Amino acid sequence: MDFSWFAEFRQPLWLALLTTLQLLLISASAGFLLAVLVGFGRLSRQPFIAWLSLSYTNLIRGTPLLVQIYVMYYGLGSLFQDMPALRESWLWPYLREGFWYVALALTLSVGGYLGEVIRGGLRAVPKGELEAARALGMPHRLIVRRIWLPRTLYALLPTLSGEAVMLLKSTALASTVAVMDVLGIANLIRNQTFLTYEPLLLIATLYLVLAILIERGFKRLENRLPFRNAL
Amino acid sequence: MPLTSDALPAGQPIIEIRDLHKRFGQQHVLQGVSFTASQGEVVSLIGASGSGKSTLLRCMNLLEIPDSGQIAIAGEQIGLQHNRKGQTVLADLQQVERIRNRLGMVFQNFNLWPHMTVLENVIEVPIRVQHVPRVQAIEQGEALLAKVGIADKRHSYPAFLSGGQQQRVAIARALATRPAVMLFDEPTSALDPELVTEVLKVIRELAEDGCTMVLVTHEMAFARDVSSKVMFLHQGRIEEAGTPREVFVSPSSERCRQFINAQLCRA
Repeated sequence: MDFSWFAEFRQPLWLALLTTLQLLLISASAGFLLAVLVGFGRLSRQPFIAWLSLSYTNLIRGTPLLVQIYVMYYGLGSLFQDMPALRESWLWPYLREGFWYVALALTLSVGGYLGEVIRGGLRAVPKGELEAARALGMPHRLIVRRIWLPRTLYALLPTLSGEAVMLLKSTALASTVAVMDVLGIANLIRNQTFLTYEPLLLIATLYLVLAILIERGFKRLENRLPFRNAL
Repeated sequence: MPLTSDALPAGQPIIEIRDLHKRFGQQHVLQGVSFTASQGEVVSLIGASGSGKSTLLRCMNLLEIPDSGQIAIAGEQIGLQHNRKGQTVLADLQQVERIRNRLGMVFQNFNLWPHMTVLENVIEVPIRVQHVPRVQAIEQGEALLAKVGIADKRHSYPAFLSGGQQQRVAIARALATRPAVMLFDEPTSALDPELVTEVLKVIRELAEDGCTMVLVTHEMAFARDVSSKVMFLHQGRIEEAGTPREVFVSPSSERCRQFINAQLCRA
């Protein structure tokens, strides 16, 4: 085992870790919001909204994430390239980067997968609890905000934890469109040092540690809910 | 503190229902029911399961929307209209929300919110819907929990309470909005036999305080004791109505007599 390169690559490794974490946090939070909309959309009584949400879910879940990233980066990206107005605007530095295309693709993906999970969670809340809220005069929005959604999310915490870890691992696909995330930097190190296993082992450990940290965090959150056995 | 809103003088009709019809698919559950409950009255709805008594109760706060008929709460007519498919729908959801807020409801399965403590369950609607200041809502909530004998559990979560305790919390939660009427939908049917008494005791105390109530129940002895009026439903119609004495001792309907005899024998 030869880790003599480590000192030289410490700085880029650190930046790569930050990139991966940024991807994770951005797509997790934006994707989560989207997923809540999709989850409710799937249950909507408006046929069009229900249809739209279902089609979206099917589209996202029915195509490989890597293909989605390519469509964003090469498809959308090259489209943008042909727009001179855009090239001169303040947006261009962002639109040139693979990072934001991956973040968008991951967000859309989370919206699809997690949306379906949230739909299931929403439906699992006993009807009577919502009925009680209605019977006491709570308006629908308040019921959603105070009872239906929190109730669902608490019950889904273990699933959300798993989804977060899945998302962490999906961020590695960013390296395929030249984003210097953790896997991206490992590939760079491999190319420059002609070593294969050492850089990969290092970053595999890194992903593992992150995954464990995420799971621990969710577990702690769960344990802090005194009513967790009742959901 | 008065338990219920005292805006209405005694004897004033609070719930007035006329010629209510409700179908679930092929089943004609309510076939022209008329009903009145006045301020201070305790009305019990009895009858076999499937007779429509729960449906009637759930129409009172529009948890079920009747196919036809009229409902007025405290003199205010509930707006109902037909949509394009011919279904009856609420004309004005805000009106119904406002009216529901004045009707307390207690369910067979308690339906407490499990992610909130006992006290949080009780103060939720006063704070969020009625905009009662938090301090005041807590004060009133704690008084109500004391009233139903469960003040020491106010920071527990519902899952840690027995069925009887949960149902008493549900009663406190319904009372917290200071309703004009309390609706009880088989409040003791999901309870273990040894827990029924503590819940009935609370309901009895409410009745003695002059709280207006409509009660769907299978507890015949209790209905006989606390009610000012009893209605026997059979196949979606009110078959017999009157004072407990009239209905339980000298019913004019043969079906009612049979039902009551069977129930009393069982007990």
